[in-house]
Amino acid sequence: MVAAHAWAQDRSVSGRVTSAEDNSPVPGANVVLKGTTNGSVTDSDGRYTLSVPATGGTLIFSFIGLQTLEVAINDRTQIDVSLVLDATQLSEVIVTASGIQREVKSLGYGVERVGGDKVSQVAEPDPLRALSGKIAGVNIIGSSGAAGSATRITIRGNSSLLGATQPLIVVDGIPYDNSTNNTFNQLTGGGAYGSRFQDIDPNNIASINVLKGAAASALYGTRGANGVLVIITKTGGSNPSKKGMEISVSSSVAFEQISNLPDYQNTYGTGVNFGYQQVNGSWGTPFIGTRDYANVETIPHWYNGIPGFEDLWGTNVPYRAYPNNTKDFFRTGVVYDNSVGFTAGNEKSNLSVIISNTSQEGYVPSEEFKRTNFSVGGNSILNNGLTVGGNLAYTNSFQHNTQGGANNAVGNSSAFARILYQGRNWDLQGQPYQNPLTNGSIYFVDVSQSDNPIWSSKNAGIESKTDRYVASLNLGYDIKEWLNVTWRAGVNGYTQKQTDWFRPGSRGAGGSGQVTNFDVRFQELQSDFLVTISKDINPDLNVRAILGHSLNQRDTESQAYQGTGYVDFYINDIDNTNAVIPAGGGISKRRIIGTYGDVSLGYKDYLFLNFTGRNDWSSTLPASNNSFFYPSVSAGFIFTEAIGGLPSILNYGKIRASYAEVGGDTGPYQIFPVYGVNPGSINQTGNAFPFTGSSGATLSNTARDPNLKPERTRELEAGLELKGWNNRISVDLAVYKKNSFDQIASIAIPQASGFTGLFTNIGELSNKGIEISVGITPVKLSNGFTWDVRGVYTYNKSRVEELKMPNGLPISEITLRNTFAGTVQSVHIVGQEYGLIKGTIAARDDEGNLLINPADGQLIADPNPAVIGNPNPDFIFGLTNTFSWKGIALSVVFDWRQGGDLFSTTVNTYLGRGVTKDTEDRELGAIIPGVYGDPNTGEPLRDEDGNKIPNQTNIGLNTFYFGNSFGINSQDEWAVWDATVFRLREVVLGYTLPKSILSKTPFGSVRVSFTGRNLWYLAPNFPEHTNFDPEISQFGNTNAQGFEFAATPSVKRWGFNINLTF
Amino acid sequence: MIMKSIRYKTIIASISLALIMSACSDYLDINKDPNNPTDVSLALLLPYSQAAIVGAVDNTAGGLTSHTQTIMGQYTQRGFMSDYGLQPNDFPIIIGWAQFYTEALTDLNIVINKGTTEESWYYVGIAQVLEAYLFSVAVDLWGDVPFSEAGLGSANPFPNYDSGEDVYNGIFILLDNAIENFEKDAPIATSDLFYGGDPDQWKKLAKTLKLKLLNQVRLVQDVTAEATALVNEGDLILDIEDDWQLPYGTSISPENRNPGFVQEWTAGGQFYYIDPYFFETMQGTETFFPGGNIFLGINDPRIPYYFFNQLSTADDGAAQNPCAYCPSRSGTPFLSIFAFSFNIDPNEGFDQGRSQTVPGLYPMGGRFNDGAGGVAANASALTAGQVSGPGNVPQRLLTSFQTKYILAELALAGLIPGDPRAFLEDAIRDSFAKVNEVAPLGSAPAISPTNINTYVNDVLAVYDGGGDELQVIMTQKWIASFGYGIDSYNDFRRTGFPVLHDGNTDNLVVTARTRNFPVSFPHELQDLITNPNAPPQRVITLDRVFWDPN
Repeated sequence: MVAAHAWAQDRSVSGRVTSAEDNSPVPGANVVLKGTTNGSVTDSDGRYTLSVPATGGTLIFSFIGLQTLEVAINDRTQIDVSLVLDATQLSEVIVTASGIQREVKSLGYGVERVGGDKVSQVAEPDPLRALSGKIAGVNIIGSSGAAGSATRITIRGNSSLLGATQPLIVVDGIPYDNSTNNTFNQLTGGGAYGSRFQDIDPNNIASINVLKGAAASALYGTRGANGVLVIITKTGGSNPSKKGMEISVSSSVAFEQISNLPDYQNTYGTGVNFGYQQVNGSWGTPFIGTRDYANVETIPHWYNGIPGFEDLWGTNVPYRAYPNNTKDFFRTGVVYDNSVGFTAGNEKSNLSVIISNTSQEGYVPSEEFKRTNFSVGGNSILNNGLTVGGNLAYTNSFQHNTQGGANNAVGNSSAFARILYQGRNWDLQGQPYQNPLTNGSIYFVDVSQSDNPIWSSKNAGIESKTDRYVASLNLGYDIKEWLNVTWRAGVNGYTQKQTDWFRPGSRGAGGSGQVTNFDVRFQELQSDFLVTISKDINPDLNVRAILGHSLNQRDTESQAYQGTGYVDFYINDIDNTNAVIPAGGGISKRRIIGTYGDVSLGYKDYLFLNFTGRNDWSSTLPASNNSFFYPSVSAGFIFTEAIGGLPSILNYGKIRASYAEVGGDTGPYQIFPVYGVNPGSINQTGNAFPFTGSSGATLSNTARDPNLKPERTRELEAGLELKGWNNRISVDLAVYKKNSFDQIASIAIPQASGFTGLFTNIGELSNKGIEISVGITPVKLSNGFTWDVRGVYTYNKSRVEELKMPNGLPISEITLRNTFAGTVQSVHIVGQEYGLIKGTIAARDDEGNLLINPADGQLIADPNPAVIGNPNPDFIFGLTNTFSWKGIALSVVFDWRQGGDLFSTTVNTYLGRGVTKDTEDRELGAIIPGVYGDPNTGEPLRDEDGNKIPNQTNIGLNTFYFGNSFGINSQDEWAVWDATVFRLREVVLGYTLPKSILSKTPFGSVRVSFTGRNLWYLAPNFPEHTNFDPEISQFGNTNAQGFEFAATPSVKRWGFNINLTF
Repeated sequence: MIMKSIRYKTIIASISLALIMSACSDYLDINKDPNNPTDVSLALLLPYSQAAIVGAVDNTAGGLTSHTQTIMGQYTQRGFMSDYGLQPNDFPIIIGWAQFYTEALTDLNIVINKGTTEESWYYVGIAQVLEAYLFSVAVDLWGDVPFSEAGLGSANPFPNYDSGEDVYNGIFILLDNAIENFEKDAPIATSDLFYGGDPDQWKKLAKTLKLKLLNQVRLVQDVTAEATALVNEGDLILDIEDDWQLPYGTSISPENRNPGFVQEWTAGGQFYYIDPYFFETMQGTETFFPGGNIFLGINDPRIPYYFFNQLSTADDGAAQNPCAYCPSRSGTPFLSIFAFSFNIDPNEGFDQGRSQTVPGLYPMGGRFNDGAGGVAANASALTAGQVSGPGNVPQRLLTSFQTKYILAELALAGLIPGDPRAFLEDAIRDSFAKVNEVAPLGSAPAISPTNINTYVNDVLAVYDGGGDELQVIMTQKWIASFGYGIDSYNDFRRTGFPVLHDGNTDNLVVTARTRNFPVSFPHELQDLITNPNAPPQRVITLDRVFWDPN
């Protein structure tokens, strides 16, 4: 400032900066006198004024996303310029680790930026799911079609065997917790609990920057191993508005339906072996008119003998199919999303306010998701040069779901227990679902087997209410022109209150009624202090160094209470129960201190080097092992700039390479053994302490390693970027190899040791992968029609390299997750891929022939389980075609997930219950190919000549799918299918009204669009008529993938959206 | 100047903040668990391990009584289990094993170590008796099990398996040490769930357990001297007041009721059927195994205390689905399925949750069978048609009637002095006394002395009738043991009695036995997989435990 005053003011230049695209003013553009620090910033109307020397001089006009322009002043006093879009985006600035902005071209590693418009306005309340198929290297899978259910995202595979594999999400510099807070294990109860990223307002997302590799995320140290999503919100960003004041309105409505009902057979009703019975399976006698011999016209009423339905006792009902008894249970759901944004700004300050509301009624009756967001943020440069900014965001989320979980667990009561496999003659809609005497559930099978789904949707469920707040501030100051200090601090927290309830008369909770309240309070504090030094050593060599210090604290408190026995039937308040006990919870707090440095060197705009180092101290590790250092180095070389004489068709070419280390600590309180006081479950049926008046305590079943070390991940990455044919073809290729070692895990040790697990550093995991993004503009006509194609290909192989005990003894296998004791599990096996599915198999002889029990013609169980599936996809391919012409744009996202297995009880049950057309052609028996075996020894039987005896025992198709053969009463291996799926993920047809039409209206822009999501899919390797959508995962965003136990099926949506600005 | 001052203040403040935060090592010293203690008293550790041991053997789908009573023809279950289809990952096997080793043993070892330091000898003695019991059950089922290297945690995560004989020798030492400890002066172990800490009761249990184990090994070693000495000392469980059992409560929340009751009396959610063979043996009939019932014509008055019929009439049509073993067959509302009928009897697989006969008052605290029927339920508020029981009947582990059956067996074998017939009569009378002890919990009438005398005389007449006397003793013991199955399974492998139902030799077309009787249990699967020192999996139809030379 002192220097500025000393400048000789000989004359002043003024003018206006506009955008060449639409001639709108460009506020906030930099205007600098070349070779000096003398400069100005354009105001809200794009105008500037600058004092310049009396003679000569050149002005440099620059603005993010527009091409920088140099204009000689000569003797002009008025210079208006029009800046054109930087088509190659070469000088695009991207936000990288710790909020550091860098030019994309200078990066030595892969980073991808997704605009906010890709996640809002696509009829998808969950912004993570909206990214599906759009980013190479990123795998996104929704847990179910239930409103508000969790979403799992992994970047470049899994970096941890048993620990967190979800990327760190950072919103405006503050980590954004994405936990799923389960009241119950989702296998044995509870609902499709949400993951907390759903609290963010998609309408407020300006951009999502995906830091995929370790080099990109190395500055996040302990938390960067799984990649980072750096999200900049509109209210948290620092770019001033283009106009002085703008109001934007976005409004959409979308409708949703179940996407995957099977093709039901309507020939046979319930029963066994072609005889009618009141049972689950539709293996009974055919309906009149479907087969010549059909002769059952009526059946006794299902509620015969049930107290409360005396008027139905002794009555008969027609024996007929109810083809829509499942379809009519579901409804057409609707999603409303409305948002209003206000932005105001000038060259010194800006302010943004966004208010949004999302309201979803799911396709499952009574399911809801609602979200209301208020966000406000602003930045200002004070007269003294201090930059001050801050933002506040508040979210209120509400989720209501039906009860889920696998129905074979004791005391479970899923609304989906039978709905998809109802007896074909069950008149669900025409019969009462509630017992007038007891208010309890009444259904076609006994309540001990299943609740009536209608009753369940009204009288059991989960409800979750979350209040979330984010507040942050930043202060910055340029001490010298080359020296800046910035401090950014914030808090991001929520309280979540969750209630699970079963009213009395349910299969769930012993039938007495049960209310479980689960309260969670989470708060994260983050502070970053950065000193930035920028120097041009000489005209060719630029240096920037950043020194930083960061503090992070995460603080969780949770408590569950369970009330048993309802007093009044309808009141889901825990005060309305007979007995209340605590049901788990606790306090946890963890802290990380980090210091880091980042040095970048740029040579002649084509060679870039970047070194970073971070040291973290974590509170969760032993004091002797709690300090660790993470280095990274990366380089980028733009060879098209450096080397002359390349073919002119090549516009741009860059190679890049990087090496980095990142890591992970563990959760709090994991290194010392502790005792559990008043344990909640002594045995199978949940006997609990206090027991007959006595309190009790037991040592935790996990042995602890007091010398625990942090997990580490080392990653090598190389990349190639090419653009050619006037930038109409672009390719971005990345290959990487990532090794994660000293993995922290609780490994299963023999229980005879007195413990079930040992918590220690266990082994090494590798990920190797290829990511390819290709953009092609095959057609670009002079009339404005363009056709853009963008393909993203993701290939990743995760391999378990080594597992060992602390004493070095190798281990071959660890269990990632048990499902039901002793049956199908998720396991890691040395030398194989991540998280394989292991389960029971049928016995086979040495040649692989199935062994058949000669007594019944069915399979014999092998006592030893084996690997029966690999849930990891071979590759994921996403293809986006965009056609645009004069404001009309049609974008179609297609994706293809190849391979990966799914253990599905839904599909298994479709077959076992005989409800789909797959099992309709059943009036023939079957002989299972195989040889006779001895069920006592598991050895093949032999004839007098010592030869194996081929199976010749015919079994009915009923037995084929219901007995110990290939259906629900058989080994786990028969419930695994290849989950390859092709999908029409998203279709958006939008129309942006021309400015010429709007010029006489108050509107700055108007855009209308039609959106469809998941309109079509094909999973060719599932039984044809099940129409099964395998994009489902029982365990939400946990590491155990490839399991489905009666999960809520997926959803399809279509909707309309309008965006206005004025 | 103002600018400069702000500038320097900012720098100084920021740098000091950074330094303070980094320098302050306390900032990171927050990893002490505020939720769970790192040390607890003996009084807290003991009751949990006691409940955990009972959890291993109890009458639920995850308790060892479930499998042993099914193998021994007291329960039937749908599916393979009633055709001896044991798998190494069956619930009772994995849960029983886990309860023993990870829930009970670890805490008991701490009790012994800590109790020795504190000279709390009764706590030490109780923990030694409990360890002796759990290892004896483990050997009886799995033959060779980890013992000398078990429970050492990360110091020895892969324990070797000891031979059953070595384990038994170790058990006898544990029991002798325990007996010594109960004779010392020490503070009462007040938190004991079984005997309120009474060292005299525990001494009786230790000696009775020793007698039971001596009887167990009597075929492979001469136990005459030791058994006779124990009998002469007389310090045994000989009165039902002394019975070793876990009393349950009536609280639903926290759940303190008999877990068998919680499981089986879930409305319509039954897991077990009563084996018709067991029922007919008690009823004095033999409709499907001609010549199999040595008590033919003798109707056992304990039946209404043992089993609850949800149906109230002997009308097959009252069942919710076609039945397998129907009321019309027995002439009572008793409804069940046959063992060895899975995949053969089309009626085996039907839901009979509201119609089948369920375990009643005596084994688990269900309802006394008053003939009125009703849907078995355990909810706090019953709805129309539902009935319930008290739920607080104890889980028996070692009772006076068991002692007396052991004495009868030892006397018959000539290993101790005394009249086996007199021991048998005492045993039967104690088993009736045990039923009558439970009856008031379910507001049920006591079995009258007349009825008891009639039954005792009828059975003794069979004993005197010239058949196999051991068969009478063991069959009676089998009937009396209902509700605790492990001893019956041991007894059968030792004596061959009772004669069991065989799906291949009965007169039913809907049964077939496709597997042979399991002479031991398969090793628990998870430990076999994770322990490089584990032996190969057992062939359960061939690999006998060490005390079984048959």
